[in-house]
Amino acid sequence: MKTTRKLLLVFLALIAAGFAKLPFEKALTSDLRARRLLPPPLDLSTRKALGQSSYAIALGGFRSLIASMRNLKAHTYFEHQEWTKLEGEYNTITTLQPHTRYYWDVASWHLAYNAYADYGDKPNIPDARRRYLQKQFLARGLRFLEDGINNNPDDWRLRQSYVRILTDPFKPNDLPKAVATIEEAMNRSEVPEILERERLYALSRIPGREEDAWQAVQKLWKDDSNRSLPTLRLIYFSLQWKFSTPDQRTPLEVIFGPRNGTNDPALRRASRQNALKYLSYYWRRKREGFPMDGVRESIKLLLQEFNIPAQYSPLNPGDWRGYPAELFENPAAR
Amino acid sequence: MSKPSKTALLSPARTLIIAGSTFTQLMRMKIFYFLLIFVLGALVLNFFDLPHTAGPESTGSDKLFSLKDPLVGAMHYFAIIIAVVATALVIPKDQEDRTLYTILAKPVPRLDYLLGKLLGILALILAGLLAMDLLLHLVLHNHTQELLAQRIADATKMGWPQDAIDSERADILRQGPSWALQGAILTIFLKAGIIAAAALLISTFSSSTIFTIICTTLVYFIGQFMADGRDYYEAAMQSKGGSELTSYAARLLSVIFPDFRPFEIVNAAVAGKPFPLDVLFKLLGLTSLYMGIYTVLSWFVFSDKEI
Repeated sequence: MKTTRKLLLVFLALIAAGFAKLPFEKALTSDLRARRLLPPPLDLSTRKALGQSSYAIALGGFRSLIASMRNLKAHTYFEHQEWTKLEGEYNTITTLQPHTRYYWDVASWHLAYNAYADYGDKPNIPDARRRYLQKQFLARGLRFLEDGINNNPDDWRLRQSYVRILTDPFKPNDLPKAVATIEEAMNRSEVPEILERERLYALSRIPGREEDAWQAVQKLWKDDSNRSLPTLRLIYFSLQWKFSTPDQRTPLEVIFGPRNGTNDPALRRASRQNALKYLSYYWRRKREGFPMDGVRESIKLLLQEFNIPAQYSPLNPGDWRGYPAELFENPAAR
Repeated sequence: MSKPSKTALLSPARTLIIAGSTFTQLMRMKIFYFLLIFVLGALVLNFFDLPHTAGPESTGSDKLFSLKDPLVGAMHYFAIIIAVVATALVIPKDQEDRTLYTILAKPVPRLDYLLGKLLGILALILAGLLAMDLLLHLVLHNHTQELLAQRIADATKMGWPQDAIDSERADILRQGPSWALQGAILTIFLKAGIIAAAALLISTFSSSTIFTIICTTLVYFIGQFMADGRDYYEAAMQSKGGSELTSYAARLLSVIFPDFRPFEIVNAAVAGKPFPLDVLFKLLGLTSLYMGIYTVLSWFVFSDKEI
């Protein structure tokens, strides 16, 4: 048989086989895209951003490798604090690898934390412009996480990063949105308890949602492992002050000491000292909006109980530098 | 009068002998020198961290990702380059060395010869991938254990609750050595297998090594995006309308090339996502189909090739 005729037959056989396998391949690709195991095809804007050679390599199945290399380039933009270029770089990287959490997370961190702080410190910028730029970069950092969540809806860590920015006490926050984000994650899939705690922390800071926070903290309080967490202990203390009668309340030395309380006077004293320290630091976080019911009263009471001089009181206005260790170690020495 | 003995169409023993000699032949071409570059890269990554940034809440698992991503990328490169170049070389080399004439003058069916060549190349790719896989896992295991010990010790010291420690551990282990990563490396091998079979088909009618390399490289690149192009075109046709003839032409052009899109699951597995077993089986089926078609067609073209 002549070679030309053979090649024609080969061509026809390839076409026939191609049509036979087409439905299977299409279904498999759609299935993998639905499971978010395949990225969407590259578009023209990515081609422009990547340049011809990188685009060709990325198109050749090496998207991950190109993303890794671009990530190194983005690092140099971070070192030189070129935030707009860094943002552009991560736009390209996340287009190449939309299912890699790290890229979304690190892009958002650079913009919402590093660029935000950098514009806060940069000299010779008018205040209005400084605030505008900070707001812009915070929004851009959040947008990366929103896009990341859209691309990876089951990745609870991206939602956690998003919530942490929304609840950051040093930035304009959006607590109801933070709570809604966590609840959405909890509805989607099994999430670790750490997210439930983050929900409680945000919820307790929203005026008018204290009752929901009280329900949430009671649920978490049942788990022993949560009782070692200072913020959770303090929210529990404060909300039970608000919602329980004095005889229903868990005693101070149980919240800040051993779970079942103690009759040992030394241990009781240590637990109450612990309570004073925790409550004092918590009081200084008042501006974050945590519930403060009973905190002031209890601090006053404990200051008296331990004969702490007034100058060390955290209730005084102005800076507070904590309690010197010797106040508790050797009361007789004062 | 005794009948002349008939040669079986396919003899596994003969095929394996040809595969073995092909493997040896390619080894002598010092193809594995590529491994030295990989070893060097792995050692550098083992001892020196790449410039890397991560937020304060990072578990450190992204360091593991930054370590394995370029290494798996290098394995991918190795497999594809060997599949294209080694396959394009074998038949012309046999012709040049006159080995082809010696073999085919004997009662060796051409299918045995082609299959032997293909298996030899696949064995070479597999051996290379296994060596790199071993090194990758050693480096990755070492870093994972180190990171795990450090993070868990820190978490315990800070009094983290058990669920937070467990989630930290799971996050780090997901980026360490895993079955999903093995699945990804197997997928790279399967993809290289398809490319090798396609190169073999092209080399049966091509008399030039360069022509085979160029054509196979084009097949590889087109296979990466042609199907996406076809889908895009079909969608545009449905929404905006267009000629049926052009639509058929686009479909025709795309079906003759392999569709490598499903094999891109490698990236997801490297990023720490699970590699579902059903997908692995489907990819195995798809690879067998492609390799089967290309081998049969190679045999068809090669069957009465004048030597």
